[in-house]
Amino acid sequence: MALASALLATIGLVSTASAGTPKGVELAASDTGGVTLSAAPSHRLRGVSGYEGAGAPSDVTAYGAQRVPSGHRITGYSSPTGDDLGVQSIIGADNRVRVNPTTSFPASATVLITRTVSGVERLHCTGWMFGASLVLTAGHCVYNQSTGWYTGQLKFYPGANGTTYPYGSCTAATLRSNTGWTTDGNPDADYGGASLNCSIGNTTGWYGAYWTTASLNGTSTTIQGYPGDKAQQQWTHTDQVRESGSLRLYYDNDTVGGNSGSSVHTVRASGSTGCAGHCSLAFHAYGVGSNGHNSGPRITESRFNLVIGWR
Amino acid sequence: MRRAHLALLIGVLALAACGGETPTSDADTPPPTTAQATVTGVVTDSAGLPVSDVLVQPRSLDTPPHPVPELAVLSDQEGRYTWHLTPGHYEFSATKDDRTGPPSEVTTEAGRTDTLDLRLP
Repeated sequence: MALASALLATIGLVSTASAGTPKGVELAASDTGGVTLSAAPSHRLRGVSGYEGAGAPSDVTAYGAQRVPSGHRITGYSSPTGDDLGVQSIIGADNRVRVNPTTSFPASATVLITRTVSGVERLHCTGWMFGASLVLTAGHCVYNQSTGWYTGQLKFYPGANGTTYPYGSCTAATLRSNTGWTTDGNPDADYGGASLNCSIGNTTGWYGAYWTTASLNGTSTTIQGYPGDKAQQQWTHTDQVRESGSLRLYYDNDTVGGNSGSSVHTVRASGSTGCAGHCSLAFHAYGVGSNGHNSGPRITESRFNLVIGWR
Repeated sequence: MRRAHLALLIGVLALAACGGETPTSDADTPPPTTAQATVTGVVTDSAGLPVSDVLVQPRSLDTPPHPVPELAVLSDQEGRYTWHLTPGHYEFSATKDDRTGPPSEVTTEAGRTDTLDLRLP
């Protein structure tokens, strides 16, 4: 849609300013000026800010979540020595930092996703709250081209911290993705989500997000999530956008299997147009590719509108 | 003629606008599954016993490399793991605690399941 809108605007058939704005979305004309119908259009930007939540609840069941006792066992790998795994998605030295405690935003809105197979619950992916009952993640965390949807297999633990679960757990009412992933298996479209059977986002808060037609090269990127080598602990690392594709962003944040679905976010100053605070730019999905960077599908105008519609 | 070209351009743009990304969910009719390559195997220790909870990670050896999803794939109680991947040439490694086994290579094909057992020292 973004491509078509931009091209149509360029040839003077429609104004992109007339595009519908989803409910609750702040429209910003651009970073550089208003939308024009010239051959060299200005960059456009639109987004929605996050919500920092109400803090750790005394009773998660008030939000429809399940209590999870401390020590609940989720099977996962842990490295007692903290040795570098030597995997390709750790680029150079391992510069990840543990997030502890996890009851402050955005740690509280960062979600451990597990998958239960044959009665054993294992670490699977990471997700991020994007509404009271909506988690966004990578498409391959909810749908596998060979086996289909992971319906009934996934659990969501916002702010999990090792063996403690301050926000309990929720299950999915509906798993969501797009046909670019489920039908075409296109890595550029590898994003999805889950509508939860709880409203835990009201207490965890949720990330903001924005799209822009401008290059994001040099924009800081933080990936915060649950790498498979850290025993359900939340870890973070900050880098920057190294390459801006129209459908994918590339960065050198250190990640490991399990980080799939993490928000690739930047922190924008209060009052920034479109989105202020912790603002997602992409869905982390892949380890090092042909250009030597980790990557994830970029939030574009059409994708932004699509996931806003899942709220 | 010019009008025809404009109509064609609009049609092309409309297709681009769709972008092939229509929302879908598990409440919809499931799309046909696609034949990916499957790699499965058992992780054993130096005594030949299966090891559970081993993080198994592939690395694409093709040029250019295939993107590898950053899923956490862990071996089960019988030491078995399964990866579904884009067909290609991969190197797999198994890691647990402070042990990482020697990498093993496999070349996969769509719709085929290859067995690749891994060893921890």
